[in-house]
Amino acid sequence: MTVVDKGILKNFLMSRAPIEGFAHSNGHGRRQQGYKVVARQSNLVVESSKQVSRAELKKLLLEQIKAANKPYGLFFDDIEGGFTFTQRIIPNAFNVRPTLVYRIYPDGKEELVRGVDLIGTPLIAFSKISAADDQIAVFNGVCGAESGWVPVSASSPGLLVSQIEVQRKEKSQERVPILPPPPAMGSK
Amino acid sequence: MRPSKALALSLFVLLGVLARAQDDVPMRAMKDELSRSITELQLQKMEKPYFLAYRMDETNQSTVSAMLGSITQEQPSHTRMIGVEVRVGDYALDNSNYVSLPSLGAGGAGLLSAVSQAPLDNDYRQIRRDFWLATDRQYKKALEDLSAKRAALEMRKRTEDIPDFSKEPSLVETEPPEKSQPRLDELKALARDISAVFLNTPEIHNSSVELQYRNNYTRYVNSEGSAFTRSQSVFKLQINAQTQVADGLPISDSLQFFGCVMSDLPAKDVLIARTRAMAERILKLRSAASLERYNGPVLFEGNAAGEVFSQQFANGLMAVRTPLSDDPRFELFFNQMMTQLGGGSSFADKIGGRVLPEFLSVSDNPLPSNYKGVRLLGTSKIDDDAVQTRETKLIEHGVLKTLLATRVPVRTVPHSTGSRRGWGPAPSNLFLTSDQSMSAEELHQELIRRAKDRGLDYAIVVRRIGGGAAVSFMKTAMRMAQQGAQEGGSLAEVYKLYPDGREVLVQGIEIAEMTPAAFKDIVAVGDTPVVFTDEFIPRLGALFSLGLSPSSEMPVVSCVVPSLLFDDVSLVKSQGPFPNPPISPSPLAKQ
Repeated sequence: MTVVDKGILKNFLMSRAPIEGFAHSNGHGRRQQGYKVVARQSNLVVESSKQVSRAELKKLLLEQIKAANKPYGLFFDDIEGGFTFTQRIIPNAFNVRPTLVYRIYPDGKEELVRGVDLIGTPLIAFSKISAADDQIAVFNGVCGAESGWVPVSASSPGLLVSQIEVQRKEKSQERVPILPPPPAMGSK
Repeated sequence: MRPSKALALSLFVLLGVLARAQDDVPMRAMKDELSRSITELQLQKMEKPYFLAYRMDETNQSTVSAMLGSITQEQPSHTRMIGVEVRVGDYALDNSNYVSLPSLGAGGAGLLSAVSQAPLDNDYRQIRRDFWLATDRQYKKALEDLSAKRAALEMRKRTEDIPDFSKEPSLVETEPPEKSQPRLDELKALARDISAVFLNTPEIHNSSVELQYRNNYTRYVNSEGSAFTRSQSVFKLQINAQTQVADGLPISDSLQFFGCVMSDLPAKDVLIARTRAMAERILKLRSAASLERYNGPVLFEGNAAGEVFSQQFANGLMAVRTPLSDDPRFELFFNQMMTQLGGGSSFADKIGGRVLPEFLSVSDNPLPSNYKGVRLLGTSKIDDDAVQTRETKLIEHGVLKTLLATRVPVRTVPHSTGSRRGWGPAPSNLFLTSDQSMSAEELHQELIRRAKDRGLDYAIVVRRIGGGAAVSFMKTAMRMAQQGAQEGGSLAEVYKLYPDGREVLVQGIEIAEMTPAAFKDIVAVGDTPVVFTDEFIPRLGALFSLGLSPSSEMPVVSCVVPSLLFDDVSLVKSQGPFPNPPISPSPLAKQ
């Protein structure tokens, strides 16, 4: 099922609950045991008709940093998950929790950073994709929504986004343990 | 040659067992981490803990459920849960016996943080690490609670000065772990065969059989020098059946059997016969007559005597401290809620007063393991605070002498009676004894005589109440949540007894209201006590004195009680609204 074709939204993932203009299911009714069925993603595949190498993608990033007169850009290598609000009663926004993030300086130097979350509104963020590379990676996980947790996969090439918002992660005020870890004496 | 070789071999095996008993890896890890924590744990200039206790409850459990001859669930499990008790301050005033709205508001997270999971492998380093982190969490919480409690005490005049924690002699006791476990297929076969009884009774809408084996191996060590290991096994067989009468009245009944080993349960053919008898009784109940109300003498016979005693009376015999709070209004509300959930108020202020007729006495005795060949389930040498258990004479000739207590004293009970089971005080084996008794025949005659004196055509005999502690606790909790909604808690087996000896089964009546005070009106008791065993829910308020304990199971209590004749009990018809019965008949009915 092609959902977005050449950047244009064509279809929705549908269960047997019809919506205006989309009268039939396309086999995406999914649920966790004990929940009611709703339309959910299965394997989401992002493909690009224009591909560059990873090195070239980073070069494009450096060019954009210089053009925008920014001190550095960000390179997200791995994430642990995230969530998106999709209800109509609150503003739609996503929050992605990265685990491996680098600052990339205009001179190409990379520096590991911590404590940032990726945030934004889905339509704006994804309309700012300016390039994709040829390294396809697959994310396997479980996705939670009205019909519970279902296993999902998503695959995508590396993406260059011209503008993105980040925020500081929540920080714990808890004290670290008072005593050091117990010594490793004793057998077994 | 041969015998000496065998002897050498068995000696070798024995030495091996002894060596292993001494080097129990989890116990060593617990002792090592406890001694480090009690000497070194201190946050800045704050107080060090004055008492630490570490617990590890290792549970081997097998649960099988069956319905209509098919297995519906099988669940073997093996877990190790650890718990840390940290006390800061001193025996007179410490961080416990305190509850605040913010600490409860955190979703009881503070309570839950006292318990966590530990590895099943005997990994010394990992087990010590788990105790290190748990102790750290609990110590910080204890400091916070103690300063909040001190602040709360500044705000009020303290009217009574009871220590927070009693001093008791230390104790060391070692019991080896249980080696043998029942085979899962043996449990499954039994559950399947019993549940198949209901294939022949399509009028019973719902039925289930659950058979559970549980062995709990407890390891305990504290900073006063006490240490023990203890192995306790429980078999529980529960057979449930529910149906509805055409007018909607729910009828349910259940049979429960407890034992320590499988052979404590009745033989399979006996169990099947008992289940059949229950099914037949339910069918009879469907068409039995009811009655609007009854006020008069009631005989609780056999099993029902133990049930009414343990559900309506035994709860008052526990000494539970009322926790202090920073907000007096919250304290009042909280304590009312705890009293309701705990099944009525405690007898703490009645010591020296008469709570039963003069010919009755009650004692709690954890020492005997059986009564006339029937297994008692509350038997134990040591309690969950490492206090030696002993017989406690609670009521002598009708007068209340003391209550069952943990190391958390109340005004009238300054020391532990060795009764901590789980998170609070609980009985072990309760014995109700009498100076005068009657045979079953004499009891019936006395019952009829009293009914006639009241101008009644018949008297009432209750043989089984049904439900059990867990069910009645859930009902109370639900009733509180729904602000007084009625529950269909009809008595399981009740008869009208006519002067000519005729017995007529009655459906859909319940005890209108019964308080422990009603037990003063017991006028006669039978001469053949019956052992009634059930789970016991310790009062929730005790959680704030002792904290959660790692084992999630409820203590199992045996009551040895003769038939009880009450002079006056009110019974009323169960009131709806009841849900509609199923629209079409059971598919089992079509042969």
